[in-house]
Amino acid sequence: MRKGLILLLIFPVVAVFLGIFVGSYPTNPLHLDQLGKRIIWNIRLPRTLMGISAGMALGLGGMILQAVFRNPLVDTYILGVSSGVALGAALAVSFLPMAGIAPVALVFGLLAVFIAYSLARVNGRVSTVSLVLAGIIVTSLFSALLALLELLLSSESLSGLVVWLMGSLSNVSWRTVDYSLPGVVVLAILLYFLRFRLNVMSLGDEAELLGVNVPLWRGTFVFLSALLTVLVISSTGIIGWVGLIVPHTARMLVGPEHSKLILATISMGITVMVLADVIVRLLPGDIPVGIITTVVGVPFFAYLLRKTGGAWE
Amino acid sequence: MRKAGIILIAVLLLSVLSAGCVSNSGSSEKTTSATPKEITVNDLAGRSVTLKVPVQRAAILSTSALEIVQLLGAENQVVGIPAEAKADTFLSDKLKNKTIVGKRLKIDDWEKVLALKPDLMVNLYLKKFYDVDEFLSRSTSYGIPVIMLREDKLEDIPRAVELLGKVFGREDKAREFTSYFNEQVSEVKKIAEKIPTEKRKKVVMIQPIMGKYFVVNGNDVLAQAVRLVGAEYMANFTFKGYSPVRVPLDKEKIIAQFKDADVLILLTSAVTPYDKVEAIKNEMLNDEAWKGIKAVNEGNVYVLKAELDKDSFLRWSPRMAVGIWVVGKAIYPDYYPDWKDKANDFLKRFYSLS
Repeated sequence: MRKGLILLLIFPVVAVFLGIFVGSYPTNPLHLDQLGKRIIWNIRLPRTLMGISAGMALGLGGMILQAVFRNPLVDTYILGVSSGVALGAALAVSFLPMAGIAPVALVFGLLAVFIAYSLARVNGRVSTVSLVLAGIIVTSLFSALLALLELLLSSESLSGLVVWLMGSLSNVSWRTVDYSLPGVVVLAILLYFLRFRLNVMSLGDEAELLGVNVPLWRGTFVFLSALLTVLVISSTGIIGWVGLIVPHTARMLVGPEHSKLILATISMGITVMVLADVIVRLLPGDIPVGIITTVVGVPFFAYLLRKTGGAWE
Repeated sequence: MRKAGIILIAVLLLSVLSAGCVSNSGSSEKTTSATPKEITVNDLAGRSVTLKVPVQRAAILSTSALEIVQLLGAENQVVGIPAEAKADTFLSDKLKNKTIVGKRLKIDDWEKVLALKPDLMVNLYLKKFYDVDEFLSRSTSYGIPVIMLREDKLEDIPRAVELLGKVFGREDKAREFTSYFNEQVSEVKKIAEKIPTEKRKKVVMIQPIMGKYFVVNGNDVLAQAVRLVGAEYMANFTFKGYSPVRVPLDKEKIIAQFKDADVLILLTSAVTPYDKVEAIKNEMLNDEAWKGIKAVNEGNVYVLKAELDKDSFLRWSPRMAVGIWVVGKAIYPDYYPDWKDKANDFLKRFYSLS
């Protein structure tokens, strides 16, 4: 157990070190030239910090929903967040170029979750099944609207949108990190303060016997989870599978108790995202990091599914 | 029962008749009166195509080919266009108001095409972007000849104009343009020869799209224009034998690979208009990491228009007759004259635009 905790501490530190010192421009930490210093400060550091932000946000977002709905196979994308962000980005490209992509994507990402949650709420209660179904409805509707918009886009806009949606950290600047990282850190701290409430919520409807207002807290946690995700993907594009794999694996390592699970999820989220971005930097061209997380994530998740049968012990 | 059968047959007959009316509605285009004759030509993909000329009812799926048709004055011989044509400022309303049959390169609805009864289709030979073979086999099965153009080389522009001039029966106009184009190229070459070897500049072009940087590759017509004006084009990417015309690269890779560039050209696009690219340029000039590129450090970053606007000449099309001067002036302002007069003359002479 102690060994596992030490590893969870070391992994993100190593990932961040690689994130800062690995790239196409040679940068020796012991002998940095002037350009190397500038590249680290202006490119790699914001990129790595965004990787930290994305890893934390997507991991914690998935962890919250998995706890609240007591299901290891859910993450924030089932709420329709990704289709909302995609529609927002397409609207920004086609009709609101001056508004910028990230703000419009953020608003539509949250709007999608709001609609899904409202649809799923029957008699003041939201079950996993109703939320998944509502998520499918919202995703389908927003995807259809996105397809309609795509028909109106020129070939250049369309290919630009498709590449953007694949998710990437390469276009990150200090300005992007400025609003994403502080937001994610504040929400992560808030979540840590709510860790016992999250433990209680993971008991399911039995939490009500302990005097918890389950519908209220369920709604609060769903909103928190969506906000974490949207804060990141509205500027990076869709980065898949991190929200499923990271909390699931962290739970396998430290168990379901949230005071440990939150820290383990943060540690693993940072490691996975920053390392995925380091891999991207070493590949030719500018391959979206969302492709790497999906290519690595899918077989890993398939393995977990086979091993656990989708059950949460 | 019998009555119902009669009504059903009547309804069916009416449907067939009305469908016939609808399908004929697209065939009311005016056509030229010249007597058609059958010829065989080689298109730019090296295919041998037999068709009746002058073509009377062409469906065209590329805006650059439509610009050539406009230049030739053969608008009346076109019946179908791609959706992108609406945004092309070189094209007249007469052309823009033709039936839209699809998006660039692709047919949305073959039935719509067949209703127009085209006697020719013009498309681009771009196997990476759509299923060319399927497109050709479909059009062959419908008995519609296809001419394929390529947007690879500078010298293909006058070739394409000549070819379309022949099939649309507008050889004179085509000859006028090709001699104008060749004149521009040889004038530019003469200037380029005067540039001393030690003054030859290293150049790279980048097209920013949605926060990503797409480097123009060495096989693109714009890179050829850079070489034509006497500069060295730096990017030359090949991935397993395939050379894309645009290569997405992250900021660090661009800085690491092109740090010796003397001139950096940023291109606009349909997605990133001039103001946005200008803002990107200003960010670059104030960014210490971007200053790792010699061109940025010395302030030699220029924004050039490469979309479908009237004052935008950097696309594979007859526009490049002016485009080569635009590139020359940006890279060697001391050697090349201002291109504005040339642009006005070109627009007035070939497109009746001012």
